Amino acid sequence: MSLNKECALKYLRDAIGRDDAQFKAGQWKSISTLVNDRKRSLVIQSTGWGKSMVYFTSTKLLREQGCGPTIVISPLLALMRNQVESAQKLNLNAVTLNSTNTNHHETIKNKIRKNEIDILLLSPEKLNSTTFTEEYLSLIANKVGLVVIDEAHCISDWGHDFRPDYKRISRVLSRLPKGIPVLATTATANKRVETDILEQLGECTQISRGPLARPSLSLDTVRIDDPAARLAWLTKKIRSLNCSGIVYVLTQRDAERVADWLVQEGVQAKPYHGGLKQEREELETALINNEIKCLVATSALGMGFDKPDLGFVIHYQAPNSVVHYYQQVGRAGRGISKAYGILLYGEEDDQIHHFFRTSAFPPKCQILTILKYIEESKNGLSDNELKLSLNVQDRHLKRILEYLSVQDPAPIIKRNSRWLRTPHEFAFNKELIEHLTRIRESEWEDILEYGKKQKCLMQFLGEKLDDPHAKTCGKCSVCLNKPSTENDYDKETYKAALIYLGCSENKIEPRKQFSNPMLGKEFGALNSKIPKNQQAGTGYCLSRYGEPVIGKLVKEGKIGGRFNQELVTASARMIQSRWTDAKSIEWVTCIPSKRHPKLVADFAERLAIALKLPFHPALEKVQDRRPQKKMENSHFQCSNLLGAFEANIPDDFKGKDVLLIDDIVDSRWTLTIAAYLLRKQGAGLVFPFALASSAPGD
Amino acid sequence: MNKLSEDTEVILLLCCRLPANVAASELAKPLSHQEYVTLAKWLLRRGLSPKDLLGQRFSQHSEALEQADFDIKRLRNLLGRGVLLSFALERWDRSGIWILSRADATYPKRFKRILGQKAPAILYGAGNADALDTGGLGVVGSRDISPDVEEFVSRLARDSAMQGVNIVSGGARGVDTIAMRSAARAGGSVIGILADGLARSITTKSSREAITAGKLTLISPYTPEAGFNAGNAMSRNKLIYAASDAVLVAQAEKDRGGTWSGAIESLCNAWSPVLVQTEYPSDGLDALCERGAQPFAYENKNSIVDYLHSLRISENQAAVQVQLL
Repeated sequence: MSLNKECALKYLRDAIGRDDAQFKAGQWKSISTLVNDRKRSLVIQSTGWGKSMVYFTSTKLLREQGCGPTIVISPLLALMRNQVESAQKLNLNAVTLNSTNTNHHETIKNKIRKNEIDILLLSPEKLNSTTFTEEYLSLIANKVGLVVIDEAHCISDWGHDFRPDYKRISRVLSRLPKGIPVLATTATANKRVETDILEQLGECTQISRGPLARPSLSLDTVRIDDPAARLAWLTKKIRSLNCSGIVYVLTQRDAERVADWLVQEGVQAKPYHGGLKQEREELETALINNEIKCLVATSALGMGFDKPDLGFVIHYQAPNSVVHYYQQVGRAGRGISKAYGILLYGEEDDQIHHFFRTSAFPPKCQILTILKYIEESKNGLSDNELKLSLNVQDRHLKRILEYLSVQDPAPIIKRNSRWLRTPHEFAFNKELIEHLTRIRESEWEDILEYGKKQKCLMQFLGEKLDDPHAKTCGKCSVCLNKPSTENDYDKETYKAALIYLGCSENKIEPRKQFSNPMLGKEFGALNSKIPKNQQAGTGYCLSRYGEPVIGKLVKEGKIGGRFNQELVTASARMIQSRWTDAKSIEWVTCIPSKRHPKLVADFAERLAIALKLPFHPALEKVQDRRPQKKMENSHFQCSNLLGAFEANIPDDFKGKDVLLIDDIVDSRWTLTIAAYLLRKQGAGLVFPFALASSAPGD
Repeated sequence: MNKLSEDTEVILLLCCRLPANVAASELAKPLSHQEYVTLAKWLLRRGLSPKDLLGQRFSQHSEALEQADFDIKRLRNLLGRGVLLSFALERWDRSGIWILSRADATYPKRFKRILGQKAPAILYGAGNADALDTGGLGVVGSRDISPDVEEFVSRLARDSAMQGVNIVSGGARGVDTIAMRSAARAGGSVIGILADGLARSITTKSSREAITAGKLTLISPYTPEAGFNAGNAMSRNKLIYAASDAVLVAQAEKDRGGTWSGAIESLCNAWSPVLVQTEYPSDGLDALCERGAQPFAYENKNSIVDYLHSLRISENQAAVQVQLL
């Protein structure tokens, strides 16, 4: 045994606290590659295998040889916090630099200077910031001992978690001189992703690949198309499990909706998604401490979340690929002997994924427009200048700029907050996009095949992930030959779910500002603020456009040219019984349209009758405009309405609160501006109401 | 992505000014040109090349290096800057900047032939690198110039461009800019040898379009983000002379300024013929003639191409082959 290995073993035993501990197959090989050969190593092992032990031990040995600190690039804060604690067990001083600990940055900098830091954990975003490179990296960069890329599948173009920040890291990596050891780790990489990572690390990379099967997991799948049945099934299932877990859904909206339903049914559930910010850490802790039954989460609850006794992972909707599914279901049963992984899937998942796939890449014409715009500017353009001059959704603009700037070679770069065109040519790679789309389609087909339960479920997952050790598990519903449980729910709960899905109203929070001060002035305000007494009140929309029950009726009405009476009844019921603030309403009006003059007015009149209130068309469309839905960002949406409407209120309605009706609410600009005009003309409070919302991001 | 040779990687690690904190730069002050030359000569004598200093190989030579009085600790620190370098390389690559070192076969041969050991170890550039070996007419002069000289410079640059002669200049305000712009407008090829701000220059609309069209090559021996520094500006003059078949001085002040010292340096080292225009004489230009510059009576020249050609023949005879790392 080499001297290094003896030392390494001692560290391992100290860290674990057992004198007889041995390295797992692959751990020492990887350490030796990094420390003795100063080469590169790729570790593909399931979570809990001990990937961090590889770089902790390597760091320890390298530091003893006088090498500089290790840099660990890891995508998640939660994971970093864990790592900092674990490193201490080996007497390694690990720190993380992030936006939540800015007050410590100076101290950390000093420690780096004094060579007192062994491991520096960084997010990819951090590593990409110029200030960071200049202020911190330059302190240690003359002797970084080891570079660790955690969740390395993110650097692959084919990776299921492709992130632009990782793209830059992979480019830095491919320019890294030889002689600096690099460790890339991931829990899930099929052959294609593996090949892609190796391309960036170089051909001499040593690989360690282990079995992915998780022996504690009992897998099952159930196909349920009826959304109410799915909710009812979920309730019964969760009640029957006496452990805590995660319910995965596909959208933020579903996280809220399903969590809300479970709470209504007496289950302690909380939503978790990317729209929540500070609460996320609290929510994670609540689940870790078993203070709640489950989190209903989008994929935002992901990498790095580690709860060894997580008892179940139920997918309320199917994820888009086997890799995703394995990663998410693999969070259950890490440290316990029995856990459940259940996949629900059905018709609606197919539609959602189809939408995700078709909108995955920014459209070519938008990319080219933006590029041309930057190209023709004299000295580049700032984000804001682009927003004001291009009718493109903010998030699309952001994505396209990001997309372009991570191309290699990049057609644009950002310098001093301005986007500049580089001399590199840009060719829109249609073939690549088509290829990626085809891959996504086939990944989705794999999930559907998994759902058909034709072979051992664990084996199926392993084989799709190119795990050479894949074999039958003996405990999934296929191995045990269990009957399908799709009808396993209470009829009463099902009825409640139907009603729940029927009342899916949402609040509308109108805007309080014009998109910029100049527009504010054109609208007759002093600046960008809408005066408080000219703002709309909080409103409601009855449904999500196209969603089961109400949303579907709205869609039918929109297409057929008349909203049916059921919608009038449902609206009146909601307004009278569930909208307490709206009690003061004394009359009804609506948003006018030149294109479809009858559709909304007719509905508003019938609703007024149902509410026993007078209807008066106080707003007039004085100028025809391009449809509001064609306006892609705030600035264009707001300015498109300038001079579009005129309000006229009869004296006997002045000072009286009014219900303002529209069919579909999206950016909320139309309701905001209409309410502003009504109130300027003397209306009382204005309560907006829409039949459905189609806001992006839902 | 242009994959750098290992030799170039090492030369960059040793010589490149990377953004560095004061504390770090004490430990790892990049080698000066002279220091690099000394090291390169040492390597060459042993039949080694820069890449032999990389990684584990360094220790094989550290003893010998120490005996030869090299600061081992500093070299080791410089060579350890790989992570920092890779970030810079990624950034430069993304902006469209390439790098050539003296160890590269594609490094401009003229620079090695004419400047010998004075040829910069590293060149940063954008645009067509092959153009650097095709010669041309250098045009240099003061930053502040009279309208007459301005008119002369633009006429000369335009005519050269129309005859297919490259214009070589330094990208500074005044004569440089006018010469380069007039040549570009006439559709000519331009070589700009910058003392600062390569990264900034290549993203301006006009430069970018010319680079994309293959009409402009911009290079600098200094890092692409380098700011202005009078010393750097002086020191890059030699590249203007080395890239040109002859350099015309349009205006210069006697005994002061970069134009003057650049011309004198070239005259002393015989880098390339120094010409002075005769249409708008001045004390400075007269003084250059006294030191050996040739009057260039433009009105008598039918063809700039032929004239440069006649100069080039004598140039080639003086050529010496230098082996350089």
